[in-house]
Amino acid sequence: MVNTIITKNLNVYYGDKQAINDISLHFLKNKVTALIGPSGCGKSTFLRCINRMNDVIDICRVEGTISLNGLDIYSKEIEVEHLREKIGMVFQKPNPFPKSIYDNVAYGPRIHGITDKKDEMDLIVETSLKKAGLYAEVKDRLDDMGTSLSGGQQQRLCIARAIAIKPEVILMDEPCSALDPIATSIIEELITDLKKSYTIIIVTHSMQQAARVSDKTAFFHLGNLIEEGDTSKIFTKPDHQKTNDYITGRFG
Amino acid sequence: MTNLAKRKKAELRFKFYGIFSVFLSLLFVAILMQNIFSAGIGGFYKTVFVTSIHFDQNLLNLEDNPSEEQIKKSSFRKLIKYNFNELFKEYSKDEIKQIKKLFYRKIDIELKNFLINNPEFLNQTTNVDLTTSTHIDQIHKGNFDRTVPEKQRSVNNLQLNIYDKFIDEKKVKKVWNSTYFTSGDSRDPESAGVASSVMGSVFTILICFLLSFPIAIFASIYLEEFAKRGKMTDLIEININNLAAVPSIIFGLLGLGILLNFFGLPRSTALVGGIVLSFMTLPTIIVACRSSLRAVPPSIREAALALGATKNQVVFHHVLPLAMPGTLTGTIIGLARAIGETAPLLMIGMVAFIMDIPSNPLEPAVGMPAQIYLWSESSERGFIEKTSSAIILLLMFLIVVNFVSVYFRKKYEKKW
Amino acid sequence: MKHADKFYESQLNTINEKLVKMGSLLEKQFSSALVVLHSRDEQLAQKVVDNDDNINQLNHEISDFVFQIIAMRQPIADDLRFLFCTIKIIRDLERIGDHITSVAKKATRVSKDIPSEFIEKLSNLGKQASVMTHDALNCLFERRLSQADKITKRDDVIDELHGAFISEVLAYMKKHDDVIPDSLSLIQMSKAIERIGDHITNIMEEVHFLIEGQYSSD
Repeated sequence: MVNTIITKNLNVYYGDKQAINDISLHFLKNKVTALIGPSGCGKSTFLRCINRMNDVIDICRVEGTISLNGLDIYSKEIEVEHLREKIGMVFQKPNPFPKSIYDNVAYGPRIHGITDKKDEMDLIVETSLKKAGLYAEVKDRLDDMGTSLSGGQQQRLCIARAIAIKPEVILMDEPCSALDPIATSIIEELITDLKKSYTIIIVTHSMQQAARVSDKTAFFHLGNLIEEGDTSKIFTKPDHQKTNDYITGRFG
Repeated sequence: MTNLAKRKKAELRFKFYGIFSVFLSLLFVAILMQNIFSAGIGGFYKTVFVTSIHFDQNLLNLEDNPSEEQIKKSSFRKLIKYNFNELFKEYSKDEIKQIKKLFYRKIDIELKNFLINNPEFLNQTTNVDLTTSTHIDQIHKGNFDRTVPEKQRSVNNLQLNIYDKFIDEKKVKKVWNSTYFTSGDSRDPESAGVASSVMGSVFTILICFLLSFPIAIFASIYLEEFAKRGKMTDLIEININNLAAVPSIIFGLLGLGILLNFFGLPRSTALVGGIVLSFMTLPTIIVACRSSLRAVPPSIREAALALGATKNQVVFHHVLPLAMPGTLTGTIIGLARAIGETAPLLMIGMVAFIMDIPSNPLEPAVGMPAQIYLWSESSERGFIEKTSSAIILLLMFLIVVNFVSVYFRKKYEKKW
Repeated sequence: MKHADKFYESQLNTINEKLVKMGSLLEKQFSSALVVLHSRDEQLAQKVVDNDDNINQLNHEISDFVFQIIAMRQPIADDLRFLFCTIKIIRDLERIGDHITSVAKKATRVSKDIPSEFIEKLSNLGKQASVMTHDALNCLFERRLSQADKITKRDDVIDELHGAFISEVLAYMKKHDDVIPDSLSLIQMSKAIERIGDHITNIMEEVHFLIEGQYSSD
C-alpha cells in the first residue's frame, strides 16, 4: 500500500482562529478516502491545503507538513502551478468556463504547454471526456458552450477538465451536493472507476455517499481528526462514541 | 375597503403615475426633437439659382484642353462680369451690382470647380447651380420677415423683385448642402461647415479613448486583483470615486497648467484636448471596470487556479473577458460625457476659429460642442440654422456611439 | 446522546419499549407455567396458551416496524446493530414463548400419580431457565454484558440437569410400563426447557454483537 499524500502535524490558522488542529493523515494511492464531519469542522479547509488553494487567502497560515510522494508541497523548490498540475480539484458547484466544451478541457493542457498540435489536443480532449463518461453525450457538439450542459454534465465536464492534465490526485469538495440523484449516481460510479487511475479524496456531507464510494473514511470534528479507518468499520462499529453519534444523526 | 382592494388601488395609482411620467418625458423629448429638427433640418440644404453661364475660353484666358492647374490659376472675374451683363441686360450697372449681391460672393470658386469637374463645357453654355447669398437662402427657407420696411431689411426691393422673378422662372431650387459636411468654419454662413469640428471631436475622443481605456483597465486589474487590501488601496479607491464627480473645468485648469505651461504642448490641439478629457474619463472607466471585475464570481477564478493557472493567466484569460461588458458600458458612458464636454477644452484653447480641417491631432482643432457655441454667438441668421444642424449631427453621433457600445456589449454578453 | 431528529428517536424508543413489553410478558408466562406445573390448574394453563398470542402479536409488530425504519432511515452503526439484533432476538423470544406454552399444556396432562420428585426436579429446571431468561433480558435492556458468564454457566447447569433428568425418567419408564404417556410428557417438558436455554444463549450472542460490534469468539 503506497501513501500518495501524507500530512503530519498539520495546523492551520485563519488569523488568530485555529481551524485545523494537529492532523496527521495519510491517503492511500488509488483509493478513495472520504472526509466527513459537521459544518465548520475543517474538512474543506484541510482539502484546500492539499493543493495550496488556501495560498490565496492572506490571513491563512499553515504549519506542519503535507507531502506528495515524499516531497513537501510547501517547499521552495515546488512551483504551486506544477503542484496543481499533479493535484486536481472538483468543486461543489459545477464551474465550467464560459467557453466551448472543447476549450474547457483543452485549457489545462494549453497553459501547461502539454501540446500545441491540434490532433494531439483533440486526442487529449476526447480521452478525458471519455474517461469522465461525457464523450458519448457531447461528441457532436464540442463547440457548444460548456455552460449549456445540465448540472450533472457540467460536473463531469469539470472532472474531464481536471483529468486532462493527468494529475495523480483528484480532490473533490462535495461534488454531488448540487446534483439530482441520478446525476449523483453517475458521478459516484465514475469515482469508483476513476480510482483505478487516480487517488481520490472526497469531502461529503452525505453518510450514504461516503459509504457507497469510499474505501477509507476520516471523521473531523472542530478541526480535530477524531477517527479514521476502513469505511465498512466506521459505518458499522466506529471506535469513538463521537463518530457514532455524528453518523447516526445525534448531532451535526 | 378591504386590504386587498386598497393594495390593488394603490398599484393602479402607481401604474398610472409611471405611465404618466413616461408620457411626460416622451412629450418633452418629442418637443425638444421637433424644435431642434425644425430649426436645423434646413441647414442641410442650400438655395441655388439655376443660372445660364457661358464658359468663354478667351475670357478665361485658357488654352484648349486646359489642365486642372491652369483652370485653378485663371481668373473668372471677367467671365462673371460678362455673364451677368448678358443675363441682366435690361438693368443698369449699379443695379447689376446689387443683383450680384443676391449670389454668394465666392461664386467664382464655384464656377471654377464646376469647370474642373466638367471640362467639356468650355466654350459651352449650360445651367449651373450657383449658391445664393445667405439672405436669399434664409428668405427662401421662410425665415425672413418681408414686411419689415426696406431700410431695416438686409435685402432691398430690387433684390426681392429679382428673387421673385427667378421664382416665377422656376430658377430657384434647394439642393443638398454638401459643403456643410466638407468644409471647415468660415465667416460666411454659406460656406461654413462642420468638417473641422467633426474631425476635431473625432481626434479628441480617439486620443481620450486610447489613453484612458488601457490605463483604466490595467489600473483596475492591479487594484482589484493584485494589490493587497489595506489603507493605501482604500485611500486610492476613495480618491478615484471622488475624481469621477469633479467639475470638468478643473481638468481644464489642470491641462492648462501642466500640459500647456509646464510641458509646452501646442495649444488648441486635439492631442491636448484628448489628454485633458482622458483625465476626466479615467475615473469613470475605472469605477465601471472595478465593479465588473468584482462581479466575476470567485468560482471561475478558483477553477482556473486549481488547474494550475498563474494569477496573470486567471485575470487575462478568464476574469477580464467576463468583466468586459460592464467595462465597455462604463467606457461608453465616460466617452459620451467626454464628447459633449466643452468647459475643459475652453481652458486649453480649443475654441478658436478653425477653418482648416485638421489632418492629425497635432494641428489646431475645435470640438463640435465648442463649434456649436461659437456659431450660436453669431447674429447672422444663417448661423442660427447651422447651429441647430450641428446639434442634430452631434445627437446622431451620440446615437451611433450608443449603438456601437450596445453591439459590443451584446457580443461579449453572449459568452457570459 | 439523543438523535437530533426527535421523531426518529421516539421510533427507536418505541421498538425498545415493545421489546421490554415482550420480555416482561414472557417472564409472566414463565412464572404462570411453573405454577401450573405444581397445581395442574387447567384454567391457568389456558390463560398461558391465550397470552402466547400477545407475544406472537408483538413479534409481528416489532418486525414490521423495524422493517419500516430500515427502509426510511437507512440506519448505521449502533442504530443498525440494535435493529438488526432486535429482529433476531424477537424470533428467539417468540420460540421461548411457544416452549413455555407447551410446558404449561403438558403439565395439566401429567397424572397425579407421578412421583413428586420428578415434578420438583422439573420445577427446579424451569426455575433455572426462568432466572437465566431474566438475566439475559436484563443484559439486553441495560446493554451490559456483566451477567454473560453467569448465564453461560447456568446453561451448562441446565444441560446437565436435563441430561440427568432424562436418564432418571427413562429408568422409571423401564420399571413401570403403565406410565409411558406421562413419562413422555415429562421428557418433552424437560426438552422444552432445555431448548429455552439454547434460545437464551442465542439471544446473548446477539446482545454481544449489539454491544461489541462482533460475535464472541467462542
